[in-house]
Amino acid sequence: MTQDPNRPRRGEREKAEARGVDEVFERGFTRAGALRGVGGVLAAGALAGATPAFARDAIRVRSRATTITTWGNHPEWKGVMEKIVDVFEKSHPGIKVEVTYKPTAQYNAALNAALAGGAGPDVIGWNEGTSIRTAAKNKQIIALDGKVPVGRLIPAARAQVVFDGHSWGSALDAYTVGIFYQRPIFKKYGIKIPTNWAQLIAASKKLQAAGVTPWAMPAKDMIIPYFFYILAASSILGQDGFRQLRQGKRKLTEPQVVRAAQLMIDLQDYYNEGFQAVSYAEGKALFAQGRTAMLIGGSADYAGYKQVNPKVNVGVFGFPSPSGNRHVTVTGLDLNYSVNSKSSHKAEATTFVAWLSSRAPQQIVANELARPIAIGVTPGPGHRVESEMVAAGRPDVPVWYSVPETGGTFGAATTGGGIFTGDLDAAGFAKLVQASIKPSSKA
Amino acid sequence: MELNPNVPPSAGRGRRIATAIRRPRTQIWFLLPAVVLYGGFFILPTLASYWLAMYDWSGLGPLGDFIGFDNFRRVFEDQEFRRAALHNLWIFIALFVMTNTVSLFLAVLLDRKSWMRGPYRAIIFLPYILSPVVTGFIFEVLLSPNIGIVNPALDAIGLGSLQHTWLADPRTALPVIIIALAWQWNALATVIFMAGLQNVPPEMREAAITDGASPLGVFRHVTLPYLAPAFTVVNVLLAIFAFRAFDLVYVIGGAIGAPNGATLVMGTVIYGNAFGKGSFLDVTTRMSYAMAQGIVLFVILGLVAALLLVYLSRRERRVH
Amino acid sequence: MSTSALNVRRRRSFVTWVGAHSILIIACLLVVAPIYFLVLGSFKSVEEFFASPFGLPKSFGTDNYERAWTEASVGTTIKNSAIVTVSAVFISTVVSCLASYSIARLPLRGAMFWRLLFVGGLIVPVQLIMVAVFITMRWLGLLGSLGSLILTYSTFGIPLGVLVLVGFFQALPKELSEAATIDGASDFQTFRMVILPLSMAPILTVMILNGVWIWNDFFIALILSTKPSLETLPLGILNFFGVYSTEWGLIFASVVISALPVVALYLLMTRRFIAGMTAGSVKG
Repeated sequence: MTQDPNRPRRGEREKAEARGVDEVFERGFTRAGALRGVGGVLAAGALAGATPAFARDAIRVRSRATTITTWGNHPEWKGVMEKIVDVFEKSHPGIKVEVTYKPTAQYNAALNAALAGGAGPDVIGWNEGTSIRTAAKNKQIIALDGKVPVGRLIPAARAQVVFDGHSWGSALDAYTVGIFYQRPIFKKYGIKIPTNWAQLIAASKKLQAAGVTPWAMPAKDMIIPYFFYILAASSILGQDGFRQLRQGKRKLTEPQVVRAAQLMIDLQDYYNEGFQAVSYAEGKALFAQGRTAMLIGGSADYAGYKQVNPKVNVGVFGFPSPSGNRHVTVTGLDLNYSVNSKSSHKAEATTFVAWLSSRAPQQIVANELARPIAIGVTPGPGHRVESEMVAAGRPDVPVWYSVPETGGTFGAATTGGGIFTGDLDAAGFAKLVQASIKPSSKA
Repeated sequence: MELNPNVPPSAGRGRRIATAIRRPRTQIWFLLPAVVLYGGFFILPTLASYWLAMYDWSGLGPLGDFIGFDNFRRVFEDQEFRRAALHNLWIFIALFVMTNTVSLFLAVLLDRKSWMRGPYRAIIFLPYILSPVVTGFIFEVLLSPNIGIVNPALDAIGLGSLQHTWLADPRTALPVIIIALAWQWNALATVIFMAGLQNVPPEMREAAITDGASPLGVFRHVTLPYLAPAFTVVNVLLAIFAFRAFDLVYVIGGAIGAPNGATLVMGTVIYGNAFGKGSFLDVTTRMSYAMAQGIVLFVILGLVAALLLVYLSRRERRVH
Repeated sequence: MSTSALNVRRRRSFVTWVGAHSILIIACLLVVAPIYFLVLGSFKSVEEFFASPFGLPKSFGTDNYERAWTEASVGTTIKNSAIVTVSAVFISTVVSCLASYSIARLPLRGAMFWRLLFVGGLIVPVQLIMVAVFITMRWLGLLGSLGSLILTYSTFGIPLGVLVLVGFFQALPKELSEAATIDGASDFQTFRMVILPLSMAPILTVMILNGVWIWNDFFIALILSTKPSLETLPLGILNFFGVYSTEWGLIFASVVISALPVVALYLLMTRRFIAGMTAGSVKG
């Protein structure tokens, strides 16, 4: 079989740096292999001269810093992440962080495949929910007791990373979901922020009559409809009601709560054209360009709006309850970062994870990314939308899929597309989601 | 590996060939590289997947319990998978009809000697070169209710009443995907048919014309029989393409098969189960189950391909 | 033939000529329309998409292309794609040729079995085995390099190669290799000197067919690329989709960039390729 002489061989130093010198020597070092290894390094060196990416790796090797790897699931955050990484690298000379981005929709696929093969990054980011618990149980991550300042974390973040008597990592940011609206459109048509369902429907009707598409409701992946539903249902249940839902004392199929699904159906005339085939990303862009007046959106989306339309002028308000006695938002966490138990740079990775909840990165998060997970950090002056987001949630309910009892609700909702095609009515949809709830008295 | 020097060159053909057979090594050396690569990176993983499918593994963490053939049984009861299989069947049937008529027809047209032949051929093969991801994306944008040109185009030529939210209506979503698939596939089919047409001896055609046969008659009785091998290749590849469709369908419909599962195919169902339905919100994966589904797909496709191959090969042989 | 009969015949063949060309032109238009839309759109800004979906872009500036090139790391990914595709096509073709020759022309026991085994690989769905392939690559220590991609693509290219080449080799006249054997050539020499030169056309076909799908593949690259420096072009473009998902002009530009190498190569080699396909790859 022909050998490509430029194919990097096992003796190559770059790989040694990246995966731990021990592992390389374990594989055995034959003379032939060593010679080929030298050839490989020379070739790699030649290639390194040719492209920036390879050169970056080579420079790292030469400066003898430890490089830890991590994965991100929002390629659109690259700019902000680089800022955060820069701050870290400046205050921690000797540690470099290399972030690989996977497209959001394929992040889990790639991560699971990598972990199945035992080759995950040093710092693993887990989507919110039970995956971090599963990972801890399977000893894929190490406990970080005493290393991560969990006292600094907001309750939701703490609940994710502190369990079984140990602490396991830290999130980077939280996102809150409410209703984003286009300020210029509301102003032009004299629409006030709706405080109950009647007003919400009336506003939609008025916008429609004026020729503006009231809602962007991208349903291709059922993400936005899911958030709409849990916001509507949470507005009916309130914080207490949600806890009772988790305990099994209340059900989504109660007539009062079925109204949440019904609202989604009633507003169907006011959604953007062809919404069932529009993806989340496209829906965001439609809204950011002012083609629709409202969109269920999260604080993490705001960065995306600005990217599509730097002049975007939006505001956010909480989802009102039917009668107007409260308005809710749901808050969830982005990736929870932990340390890979198979990493060869556990110490450095731990340092990085612990640092994520400190003031410096959290301030960047609060100002430019989403919501901070550290207590006491607020968006700086001039960040109106971020501040509004904080104010929009009274009360604030955790995102349903992040809690064990209602963890399967999103999966159930993905099969509920029939609600828009007429195959499923409101009661049917509620029943579908209710079936995935596993009540527990510990909630 | 040299020819046996004891066998004189004047020896009969039979003896020389008999001597040749007595050195079994060469064919093994020729075969070896392929066997090594294929065995290690293809056969072994396939067997491993079959083995993994018998566990209850989610894809994350330890293997879980051994459950034997449970996963396979569940596959056959799975509504979603069955629906997806049906969609694959629609795709196959639609492409089958289109290929054996339109592609064939185009190939015949392109067979005539003409100065435009080169450019035509070049253009017609183009769709197959594009990545299916890109093609799916283009069609998705073309049909978008917001920026697509299909609806405005219909309006422009006076068929405005046909305007539709093509991708959002469960009745039109799959047909539209089939059109996108056909756009790519027919390119290849046409070229393969063109190749097959080259095999038709022109003398036979001339003879038939001289005998007074109409063009249609010539086609039916002279050309078609010689096309039999091409038919086999095209249709078997077609079956593989139709049942293994993934990239393009995934881009347009996603792992959920928007809207409401109308665009699911077996490939996307398997992907959804193996790696999650493509969202940061859904982290439940069922890798073992997905592998079981994959094996069922493999078997289905194997059967279809084998049947086609057998039937078409028989036709081939009958002709000659 | 009488003049009127000749005229009828001439008229009929003229009508046929017009008919045939019209159909072909329509077919070409159907093919070109989406591509035209793509290329035109790559020069538009987002508002132009909404305002005039059909119309020509206001200007043919290269902003979109420049941005696409840098932000999608096209430089790195094109290089990776090129290295991977060329290496994999080379390895796969060599391996397939050798194996096909063995199956087709050498006295191999169970030749039919081997043939079916290799060609049957076309049927296996890729999702099924990628996790296992990943684990194998990790075990071999190849994960941090392009080698894993190259080996995987080489392997997956074998079925197509064997499918095409076995048929072709079998159809070559036996006298050719027999003549060489009589002259004292070893099997390998016969293969190299006699058979190979005659098989350039189908070999080229196999190289092109494999090259196209390997260049365009994204799933295998997604699973096996563990570092940004290893990403291939389709992966880079897909990442790009995720970020700028509605800056259609930008995405179209990146798509055009990714398709350009293949299309250019294809347009340069069309004659050769189609000639190759027609020269007997379809022998059943």
